[in-house]
Amino acid sequence: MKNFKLNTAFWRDVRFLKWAGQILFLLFILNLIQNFFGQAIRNLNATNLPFSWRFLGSTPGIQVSEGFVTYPESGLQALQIGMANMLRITVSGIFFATFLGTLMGIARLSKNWIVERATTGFVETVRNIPLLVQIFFWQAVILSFPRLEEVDRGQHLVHISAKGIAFPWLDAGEASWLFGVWFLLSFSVARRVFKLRVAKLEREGVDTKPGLFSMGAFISWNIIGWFGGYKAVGALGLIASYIAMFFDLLPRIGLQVLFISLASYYAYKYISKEIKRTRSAENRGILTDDDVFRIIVAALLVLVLIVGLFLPLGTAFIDFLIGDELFFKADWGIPQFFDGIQNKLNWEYSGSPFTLSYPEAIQAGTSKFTRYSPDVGKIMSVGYFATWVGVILYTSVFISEVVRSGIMAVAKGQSEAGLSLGLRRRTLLRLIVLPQALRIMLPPMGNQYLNLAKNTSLGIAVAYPEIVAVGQTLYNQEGQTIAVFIIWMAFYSTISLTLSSIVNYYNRRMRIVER
Amino acid sequence: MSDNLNTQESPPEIQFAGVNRWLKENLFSSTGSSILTFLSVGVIIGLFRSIIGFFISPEREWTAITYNLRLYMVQAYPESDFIRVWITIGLVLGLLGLTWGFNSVSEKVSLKSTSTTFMKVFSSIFFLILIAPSTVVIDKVEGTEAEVLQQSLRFYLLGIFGILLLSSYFIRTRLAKQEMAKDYLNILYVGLLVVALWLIKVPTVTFDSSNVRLDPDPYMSLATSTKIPWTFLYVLLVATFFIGKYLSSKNIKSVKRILPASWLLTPLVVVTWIYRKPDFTMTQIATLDLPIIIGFSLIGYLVINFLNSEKLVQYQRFFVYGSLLIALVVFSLPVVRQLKLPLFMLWILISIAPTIANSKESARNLFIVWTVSIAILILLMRGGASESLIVVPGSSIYGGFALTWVIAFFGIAISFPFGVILALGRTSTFPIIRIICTALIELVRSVPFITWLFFGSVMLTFFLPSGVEFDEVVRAVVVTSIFSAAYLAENVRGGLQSISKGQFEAADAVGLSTLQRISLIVMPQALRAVIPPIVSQVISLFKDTSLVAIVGLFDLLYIGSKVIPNQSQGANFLGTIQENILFCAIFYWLFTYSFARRSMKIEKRLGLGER
Repeated sequence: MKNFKLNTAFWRDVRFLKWAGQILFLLFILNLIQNFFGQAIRNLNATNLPFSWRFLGSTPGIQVSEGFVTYPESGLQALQIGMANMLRITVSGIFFATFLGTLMGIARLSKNWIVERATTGFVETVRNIPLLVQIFFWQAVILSFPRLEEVDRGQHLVHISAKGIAFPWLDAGEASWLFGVWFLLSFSVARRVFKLRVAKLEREGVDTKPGLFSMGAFISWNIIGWFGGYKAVGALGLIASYIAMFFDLLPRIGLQVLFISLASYYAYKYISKEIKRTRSAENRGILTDDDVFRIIVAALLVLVLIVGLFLPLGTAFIDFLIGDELFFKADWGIPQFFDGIQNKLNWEYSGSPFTLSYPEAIQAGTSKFTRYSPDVGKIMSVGYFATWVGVILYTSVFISEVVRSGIMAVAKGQSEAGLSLGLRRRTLLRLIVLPQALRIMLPPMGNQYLNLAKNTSLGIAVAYPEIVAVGQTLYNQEGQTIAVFIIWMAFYSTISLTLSSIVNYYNRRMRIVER
Repeated sequence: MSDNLNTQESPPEIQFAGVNRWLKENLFSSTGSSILTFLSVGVIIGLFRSIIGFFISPEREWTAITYNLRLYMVQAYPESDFIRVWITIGLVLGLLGLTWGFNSVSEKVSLKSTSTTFMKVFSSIFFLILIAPSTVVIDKVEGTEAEVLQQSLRFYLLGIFGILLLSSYFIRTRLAKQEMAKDYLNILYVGLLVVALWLIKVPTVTFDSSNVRLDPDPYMSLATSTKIPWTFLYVLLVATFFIGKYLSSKNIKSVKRILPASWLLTPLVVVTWIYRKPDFTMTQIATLDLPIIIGFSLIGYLVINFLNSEKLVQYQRFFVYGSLLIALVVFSLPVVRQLKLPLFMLWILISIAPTIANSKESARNLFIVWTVSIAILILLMRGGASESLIVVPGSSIYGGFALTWVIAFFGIAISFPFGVILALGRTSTFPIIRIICTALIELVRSVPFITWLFFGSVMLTFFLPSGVEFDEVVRAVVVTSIFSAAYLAENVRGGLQSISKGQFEAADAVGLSTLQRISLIVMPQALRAVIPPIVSQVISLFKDTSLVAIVGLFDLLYIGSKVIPNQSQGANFLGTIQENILFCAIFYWLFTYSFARRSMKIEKRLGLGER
């Protein structure tokens, strides 16, 4: 095959035509993009608002109605507030929507007729009404409650008014982060104990009560932590402080070299893998044009990265990472990050990590109006409530469908086989049905989580300041629509990629191991 | 075939084993189940009581809906031009009736199943009336109550529905063997809706001679100004249904081609007819358009009858390329617009004529279709190009529920070809094209729809040459179709991946070209496999059109959430947000739910997921 040469003119060669066509297409697309952006830049220059990122550094003079800061110092910080607000709803929403959706999915499979019908009715109602209508509905619901009056002033356990919902909350002490990490560790401890007990059960054949033991370990670990055990986590803070020091001392070139060597290493690995693959029996050692293309692209990408790191944009990015960038007033560098960890996880902190506080309605300044005190308890604003409830209910009915079809897809013979082995109902679910159902459920579940994350953007309709709303306020103020749009895109893409890589990770772990 | 259908075994009918057994099995199978039953019955009754109480409470201003129905449907469309809307609806309904009648199958349903449906409906209404609260609290602080449902009225209603329930039970038991054509049953259902327009009376806002609102609001028919048009349209629908049935019994083949073609042309007609009032002049049509139409129909006649002859058919590819070249050249020349598009259509005609017009009859049919479509196209272009005489306050003539339809329909229609092309690009073997398509799809999908709407409403103008401006609605349609195309591409890709490799190899083995392989082998199978996800995507797009309310287009939701609750002129509806949002929710729900049910039935008929 290799030595056999056909005398064809190159313009009739399929390989030539294929690549020539593609390159022409690429050039056409690039030309199109260049035309569009050139036009955009010309149009923007004509409107006296040339494209720039400067607004990220200057104080925007806007107020954000809720978030970790309400008067942002810079445009970037305003956007950070929006991102944090969006993540607040996304994370808690995913948790509650999964819980509710699983419950509803199981209820729809219930043998009880009335439970099954009622859940089906609810699902059919919620999934056929646009989410935005539902969000407006929940806003109208909370606004129909009486306004906060003078008679309402004072401490409450739970209070609902047209201003929102106030309820008791755990106020974080200085050691809260230390305890938080300790609490996360407790899961792995409980898991470890469970596995040990199960191993003993399998070895000795006596009932070692793994569930009871792991629960006990979980509780006692946390009790120890609450009364001072969390100080052990301070070790992490110490490590973080050393890392922060290292990055503080590292010059810009150090990070550049680090990046370049990492990129070259991965490119080398990729290319050598490609070449090795073509040497397999299947490919008979032939490097097809597609393989060559992949290798060239990998090499080109590394080259672009290396050159790009020394161009203004690249150096600005590196400055950002090593925390030398002061212009944008946003502490997002690597040293700042580790400094933050060290500040939160300092082993010198003491006291109880959380204290319970109750909401209180107080006089607003010296006016005659009443509002909830922002310092105690937790207040769920109208916008947050409407978006949160709307998004959770809407996503949970879709999750219930996923759960239902996942459980139904597990063959009936599987549970019958488990029952005939003498497994208890609970054990059967845990060991046989759920692992198989989960495998089917995971990919669509991940899609639903992504939809949830994107749907939080509807908070803008009820004045909840998530990233789209803040971005819109910002570009109305500064006129930098394209820059804000690029930031939206980058942010949402990051969220999508993170979520889907988490789902993919679990998906890979749960995959059937085939021969 | 028909024998097959008749002998098909129906599943054994499940015998009803008695109320006691059913209750024991489905509600009280165990202690936990019994507790759950009591709990959920309590919750459901409490919930329904409060919902009904909310709806019939004297605090509710339902007149906000009945007074503003026109605003909800067409927003500011001028009243003097309403006849155009009615004629368009009539056109669509007439076409629907024709298609329905033409494709009607003599499917029968037993009266048993029909009366079971009626029994379900009547018994749920009976139950709701039974549990409806007679008083509601109107002041939460003071605890004052108002009577909303008199006992006598409740017994009166219970009596009516009890009789209806009993009569449907009677039909179910006595006339169980009787059968009824399904089509007539559906006509009956639609007829019931029209009768409801005449019978059901709702409170309506009225003014006396000095423009003061009358108090209390008199009860009038559900649709005071539209009941005569709707009745007329219903008669039209029934009439066209029977015409279609008659045509189908006469076995006229050409109707089969004309109907889909008319459906394809309908949206264009609707847009030119409803949203524009073209400034026609007869002289223009007579001097310019008519000669062009006649000329093209003559050329078409020649193409169909002579290009097909055995001598010339071997040169067909030269004619195809030649006509394309001519069309392209003429397109760049400064000639009247009426010449440009028909030339492209001529190119298409030349390409397909040998395949379609292979007999005398089909040649005649093709000629008729060709002439009609050229005539419609040229007249549409004349109408579309001339100045519109419809003037509305505000920026756009599109509004209300009509806007929702415009965005949903054109969003889907435009996105479909793009979605298929993107999916093909993403699965192609050409790496560069694959990367570009993947990047585009992922870029569009990663960002929520609302940001794309902002892109359309704020940023799209930056990327266009200065001076080029689109209507706000057009921009919304453009971003909707881009967004929907990316999602559609992912669905179609799923279908493409489900096709086994053997199909490709078989297509290669019989020597099909790439285009033939895709259009004849791959696409039909792939699209058929992904009908369910595509339908659910259409439904979700329909729901997503409500987001245009955020960028300030006057769609159904914007009118319900922002316009009417802030309305104080004429009648005062300030703060009626609850009523309006509920109306929007119910309205959207009716459409999406019935669409979803309908698509489920079609999927079942196609046997998807079973073969």
